[in-house]
Amino acid sequence: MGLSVVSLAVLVFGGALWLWRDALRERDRKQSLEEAASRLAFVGSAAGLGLLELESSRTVWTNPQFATLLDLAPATDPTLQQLLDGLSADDQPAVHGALSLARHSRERIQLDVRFVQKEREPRWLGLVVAMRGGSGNHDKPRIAIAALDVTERKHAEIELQRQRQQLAHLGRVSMLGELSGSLAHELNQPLTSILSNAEAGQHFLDERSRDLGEVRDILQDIISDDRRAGEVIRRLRALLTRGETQFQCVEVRQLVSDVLTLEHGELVARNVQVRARIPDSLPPVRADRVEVQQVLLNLFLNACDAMAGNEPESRLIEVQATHGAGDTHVHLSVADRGRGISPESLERVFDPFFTTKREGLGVGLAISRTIIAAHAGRMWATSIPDRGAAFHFTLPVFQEERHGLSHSEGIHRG
Amino acid sequence: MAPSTVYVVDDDPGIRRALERLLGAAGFRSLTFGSATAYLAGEDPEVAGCVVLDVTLPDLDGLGLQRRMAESGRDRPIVFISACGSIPLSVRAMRAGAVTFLTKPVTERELLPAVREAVAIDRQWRRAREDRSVVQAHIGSLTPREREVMEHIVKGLLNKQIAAALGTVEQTVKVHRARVMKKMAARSVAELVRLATLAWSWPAHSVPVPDRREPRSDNN
Repeated sequence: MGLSVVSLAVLVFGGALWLWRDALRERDRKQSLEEAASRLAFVGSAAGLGLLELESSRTVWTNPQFATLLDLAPATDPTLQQLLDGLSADDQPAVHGALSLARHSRERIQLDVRFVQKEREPRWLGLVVAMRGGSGNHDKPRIAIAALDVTERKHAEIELQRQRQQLAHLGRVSMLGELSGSLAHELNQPLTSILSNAEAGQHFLDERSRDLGEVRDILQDIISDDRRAGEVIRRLRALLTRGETQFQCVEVRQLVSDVLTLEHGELVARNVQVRARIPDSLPPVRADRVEVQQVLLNLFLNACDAMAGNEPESRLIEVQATHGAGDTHVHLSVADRGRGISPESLERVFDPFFTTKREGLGVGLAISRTIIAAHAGRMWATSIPDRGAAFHFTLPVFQEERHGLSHSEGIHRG
Repeated sequence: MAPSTVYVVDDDPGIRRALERLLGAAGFRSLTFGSATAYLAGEDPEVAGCVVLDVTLPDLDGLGLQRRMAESGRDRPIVFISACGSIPLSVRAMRAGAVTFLTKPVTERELLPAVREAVAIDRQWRRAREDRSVVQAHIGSLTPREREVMEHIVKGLLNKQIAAALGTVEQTVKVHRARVMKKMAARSVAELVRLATLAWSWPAHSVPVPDRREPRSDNN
């Protein structure tokens, strides 16, 4: 009897203990859920980070900041459509592309888009789009979008780019100043032929006996010389325009030959030979034509200066372009046969105002490096003492647009 | 007289063709070359004429060719044409004996008179060179003693003084003197001096050239 009372007491006590522990666990779980939620809310409000989760385009979860970013009342649950509606028409395809890319490839996509509001300055939103879950059977795949107002950063970037473009333009103007003598030469050559041909033509017409075939040849030469002069002016104007950087599909061979045409007079006057090795199989690059021409022009002029003390027969510039199978970038190099660069100066030559020349500001290479960096390429120098220096840079291979991502610039995969 | 040839040296084929036509229309025969090396390989010193020379050339530039021509004795009057003429450059060219220095684009009103002048100078040089070689042949026919006597006459010494200098008598000097005058085909001491000057002073640039122009530049 006594035993059964004790057993009962133990049983009851044990049961109570078990229930109490269960209650405690439940309370802990609730507490940690609340804590996680409050942490998430804190992160969202502190960082101004808007979050939105979608299950096949339907909003399943969001936070108040997302609504705030879209200029909606914090209590509303914004939809994907509301986000898309607010975006500038140029950016909408990029978001569609990012959603589809995230869904199919499970990559995390980053992109910056413009959010246009009535009667207010447009703002820039930085979006991260990624897939969440979908691994388990009960867990449906969701698309998560994180949004942040990046207007200030974007304005700073745009300002920086504007300054870089202005600097590049200044660099071009000053470089063309250096080239002005030989450019005058390039224009004077066709003008000289045109004048002498026209004068000879007048004489031929005075002599009745002359056959008109020769006059026809003269006129043909005049036309082609006029075109030649026009071509020099066209290239000059292209270099002098202060335009926005435009990344296009560019053939390296064309780039090099354009620069050589502009510099032809200078190279002849300085007795410099150029050997270009550009394989036919070289893929086109994604580049701003004018800016890369500027880089090449600058490298050619530097190479000429470096070899000014050489015997005329050893003044040679070698331009080379290579692309290994599967490489993302094309590699270009411009090598001279000058005295070379000392190892400690190899990096310093890219510093602004570093120069070994009496004339010249020493900004050419500094500007060139910023141009190449803006192209997502790299620029560096190598040298063999007493044998010459080589300047190298890389440019990304041009890629066809993918998944309707027209704005490939704004998109980084991570 | 054989017509003069104008050698055109310019690296631009269009300019070569145009100048050939223009010079042809003005009655000149022309030969064109794309580089200094091609000119040196193709030029015939026996052919009378001048050079129309571009300053900027691929291998050896115009001024270098001018120097090379003077050094090798294959001198010809030069009309420089340059697309980027600077004053120092034109001064150097003129000092080295260029006929003139024209800036591209060059009109026929500048070019043709310059070419005519250059061709005339070349004729003068050729005549002077012929005269000189005749005189040198005459000098070559003198005996060593006759040559000594000639040198003294040219210096302006009297027979008496020459005899003293050579350690001989005046009568002997008179005989030598007569032979010198005959062999040199000189009718007077003045003419003998002129011939001696022609034979013993060189190069051709020292032959006076009429109406040499001032260097030109693009500013004037």
